[in-house]
Amino acid sequence: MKQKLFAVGWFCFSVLYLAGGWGLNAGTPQKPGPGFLPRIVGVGLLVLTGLYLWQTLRKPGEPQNACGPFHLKSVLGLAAGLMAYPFLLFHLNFILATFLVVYTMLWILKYKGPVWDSLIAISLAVMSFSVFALGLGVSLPSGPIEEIFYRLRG
Amino acid sequence: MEMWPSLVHGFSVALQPMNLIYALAGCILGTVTGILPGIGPLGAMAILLSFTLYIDATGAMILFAGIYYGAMYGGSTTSILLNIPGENSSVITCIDGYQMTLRGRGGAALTVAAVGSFVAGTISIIGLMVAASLLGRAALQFGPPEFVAIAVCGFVLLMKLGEESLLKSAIMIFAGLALCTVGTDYLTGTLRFTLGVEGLIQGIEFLPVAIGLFGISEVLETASASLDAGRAKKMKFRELLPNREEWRRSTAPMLRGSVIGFLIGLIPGPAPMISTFVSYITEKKISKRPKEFGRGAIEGVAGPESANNAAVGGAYVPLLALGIPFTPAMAMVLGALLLHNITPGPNLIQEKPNLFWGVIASMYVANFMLLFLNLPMVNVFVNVLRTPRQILLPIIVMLSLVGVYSTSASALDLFILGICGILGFAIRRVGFKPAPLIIAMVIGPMLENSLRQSLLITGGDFAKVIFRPISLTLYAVAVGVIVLPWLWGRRSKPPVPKG
Repeated sequence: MKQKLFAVGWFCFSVLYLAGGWGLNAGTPQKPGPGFLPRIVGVGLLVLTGLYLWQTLRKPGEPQNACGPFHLKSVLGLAAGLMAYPFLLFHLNFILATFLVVYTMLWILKYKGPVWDSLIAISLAVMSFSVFALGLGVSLPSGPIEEIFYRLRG
Repeated sequence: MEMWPSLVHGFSVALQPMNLIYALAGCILGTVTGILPGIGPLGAMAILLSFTLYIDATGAMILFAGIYYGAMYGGSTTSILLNIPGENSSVITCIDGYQMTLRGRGGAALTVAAVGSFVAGTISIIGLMVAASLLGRAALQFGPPEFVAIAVCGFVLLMKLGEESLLKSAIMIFAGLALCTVGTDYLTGTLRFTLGVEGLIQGIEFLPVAIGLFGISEVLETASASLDAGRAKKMKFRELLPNREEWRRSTAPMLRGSVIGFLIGLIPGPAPMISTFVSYITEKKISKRPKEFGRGAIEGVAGPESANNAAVGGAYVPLLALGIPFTPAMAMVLGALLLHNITPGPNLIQEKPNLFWGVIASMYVANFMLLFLNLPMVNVFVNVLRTPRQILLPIIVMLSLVGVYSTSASALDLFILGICGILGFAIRRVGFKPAPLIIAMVIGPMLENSLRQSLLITGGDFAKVIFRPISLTLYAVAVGVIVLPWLWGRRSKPPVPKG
């Protein structure tokens, strides 16, 4: 099922890409335009993904657990943290956003318990802020908490 | 610049205190990532890519060379002691290395692997010096049609020698080419596939894609599997010494493995891994005791371990001489150079001698460091396996996020990182490998520029683009690689019995 879903996804992507590439000016062989390579790539991708889709649909369904064990909760938790981070970063600023995301990851990965998880998450957030913002001078989103560290540094 | 005086100059660069620190840091990081299953040198290089902005280009190259070499050394440690290949290039070492450990000769296997890696590293560096200089000089004669041919031939070899099916590799290469067409067309200023998103006008950045596909997807892969770590018994220094017979039987496989590894390293594809298989098969075929293979033959450790290290030196040749990365690790190295506005190519040796010879000299230094660092500290490095993954994984994710943010301060890049991480994990689960995509994404702009320039120069005559001595040879190689095995397969098929 996974393979089939992927094959359909790849095919849809290639159709959309080719449609986008077709709208660009391909020029002529003497003077190739911005759509020249996208058109070649689009056609190639469509043929290849079409072949892959055809192969996948002809094949019988793959056995269960063909790719080994899968801890779905851990993966989904890390992925959710990853995707949520950009939103949190610009709304809660660096230290709070980092604390929340790291704490959630530790909780999902079942480390030691709320106290240890909080301590590790706080340490990681503060240490990374100190290294990157205070040490390397990276401009990280800052609010009142980060201001305290800037003031402490002087 | 003559080769030997240049190398001496290179040592004066490599032995500067800061560069020694980068080499040491690279060796330690590489060894640790080589030991930890699931977090490989590609992941480490991808994650550290953004941080190389804070050091000079030579330092960045030295750090990456240390990581790459260190990972090759580190991978063998867990393969031999625990039957856990830290790297896919050390899978083959498990076969005989672990059997030697069960027979109480694990220490000797570790020493032979380390010495073999050192010998191979040294031989491959000499090969790299000679080959890169010669190829670099020859490449000065190359024009855009030749670069198109190199890219096409490279893609075909990558598809054919990749770890996945031909069709899946081809899809990944075309997907990589598709990604690099996003953004502003450099010749006409036309916007392509930007979907109205302002952040995509400059194109999709290499950094978040590379970190996502290699760093984050490896983290997700590790999180999806068991988080239990292996335990190895403590190794005494005396146990590390091979006996005279073991030394005698290892010498020739080390030398053969070095040559095999270097030559395979020149070819696109997962060179370190392929070189170990070729070396193992070669040793088994020419051995007087083939039945010992699989039961703890020292040749089965010495050959492959030398080969995977030599392949590293070989892989640097096309990058330093032509500016074309043929392996994902070299794509990372190129990424680091591009971050410093350095485009490697035939002129690199003349224009940046400090960088070129400094990196080569630092490879010698890294090999020395690894030899004297890894064996005495084998017990320390094996303990790395005990680090709780539950702590390690969030740290790697945070380093990746902050690293990407620090280079662009863009929320879009953070989203691309996340999407590529999840996509990289998902495609691995259905048997795709991200390496061809990342290589295509790096080579793509060069291919497009060269193709359009070639057509402009020749007035749109494809025959003039293809029928040039070097180009035609490369296209013939590409066609041969696809057609010959197919023809061979048809001829050697047994006839189907009638009825």
